[in-house]
Amino acid sequence: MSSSRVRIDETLCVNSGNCAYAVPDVFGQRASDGVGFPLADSFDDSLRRVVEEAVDMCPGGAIFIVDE
Amino acid sequence: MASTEQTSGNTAVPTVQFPGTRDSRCPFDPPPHLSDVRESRQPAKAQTWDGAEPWLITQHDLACQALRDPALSSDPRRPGWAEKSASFAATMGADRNLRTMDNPEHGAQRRMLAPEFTVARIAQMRGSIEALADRHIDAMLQTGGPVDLVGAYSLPLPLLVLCQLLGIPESDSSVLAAISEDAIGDTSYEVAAHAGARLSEYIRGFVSHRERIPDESLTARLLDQYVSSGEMTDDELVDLLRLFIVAGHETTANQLGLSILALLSDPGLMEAMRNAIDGGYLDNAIEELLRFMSVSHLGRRRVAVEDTTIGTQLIRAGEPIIIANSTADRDPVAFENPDVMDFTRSNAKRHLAFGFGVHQCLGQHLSRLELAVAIPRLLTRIPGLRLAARPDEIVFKEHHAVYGVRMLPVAWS
Repeated sequence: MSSSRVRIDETLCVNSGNCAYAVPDVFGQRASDGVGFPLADSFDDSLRRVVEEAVDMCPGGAIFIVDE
Repeated sequence: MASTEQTSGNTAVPTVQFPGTRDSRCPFDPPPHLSDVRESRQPAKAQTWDGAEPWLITQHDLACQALRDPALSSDPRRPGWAEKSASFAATMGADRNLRTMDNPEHGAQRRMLAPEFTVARIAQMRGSIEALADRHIDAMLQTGGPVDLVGAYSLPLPLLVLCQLLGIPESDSSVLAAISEDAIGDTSYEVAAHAGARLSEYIRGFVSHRERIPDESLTARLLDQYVSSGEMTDDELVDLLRLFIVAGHETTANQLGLSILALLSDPGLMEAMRNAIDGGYLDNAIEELLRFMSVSHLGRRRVAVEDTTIGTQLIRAGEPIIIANSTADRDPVAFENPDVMDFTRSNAKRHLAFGFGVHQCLGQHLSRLELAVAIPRLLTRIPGLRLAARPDEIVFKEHHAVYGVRMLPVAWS
């Protein structure tokens, strides 16, 4: 069974919180430094479109979708 | 009116006035001639107040590309920089803070500040913002109207939210508003520089006070965590507070004023807003208002420090660029029927009102929260709110760094 997850490159993250704001079910924002992080090891297919939007909306281009 | 000139390539690049003049019948729309050059899907050139001829990017896709391009610097000290206005050059353009720094210096300062501005941390301010909104609405209701909504609500609310965040006494807020107006408004270099000096003097006094008497404010935390250890110097803190004081309220205040004007001017839009509030998509309505007004309308400024390509246009090192984010926010390639406000628009969040790239507005979540509190609260508590001026009587701040209305006379039944 295939699943998808998100990976965030912390060196590219600008701590904008855009992802956590746009898709709070998939992304969190670390309290200590504002860096984005995935909330789980995979995300539901139904969220694919909004996750792809978050990828485009990331100001640093730091989000990658990993399809396994 | 566009003229053409030859460049190093074979394609003529049109040159237009920037920002040029808005159509007074459509005061919320960016100057119409800027949409004409957008259609080429390539950078144009701008004629600006100072005789510079920066590149002009009006397309949403190229704007995003440019704002992510590390070859483009945000540092006004770099050769070829073209500033937004005379007043800006004297004040905000002269500051050294994360807005005017490139990576890695920018990143270091951003990381110090980011925890204070996360979605979750800002959400904690909701209660205090609601209390401020209610206090100002109470005062309005007490007068019986008519009142100037700018003076009574849309300016003081963001200003006082900011003062609370920074630990600045409320009694100092109106002085700061006046200084800010001169610092980035339609004033001369000299008037702005004088305002900038008064602002720095105020801030230095305030910082000394905060050092002696710490409180729970952001300023106190920065002093304690970074200034005392030497990671941030006193001068850096002053330049940062200058940014926060000006950028931290002017933008939201003007966005709020224009939003309310738009709602009061159009019953259909007002009903659409009530539907958004009742239907649980107020956040999206706020995004659409941000896209439509895009108040920081003199464009994002950059200068190339290396040769780079935007679209198919070669930009050489030392050439200045304007990313006309307000015009990009009306790009039909990015937004269907872009000149219509639609609170159900599914990609409203893709606007560039807060910029993009590493310099994306640090305070964006605070701005959103203020708007999400201030607009519904006003409409709910004063349901009979109406304009008390004719549309042609409304004066717009066309030449200020942040677009908005000077006054907004309102009344209620």
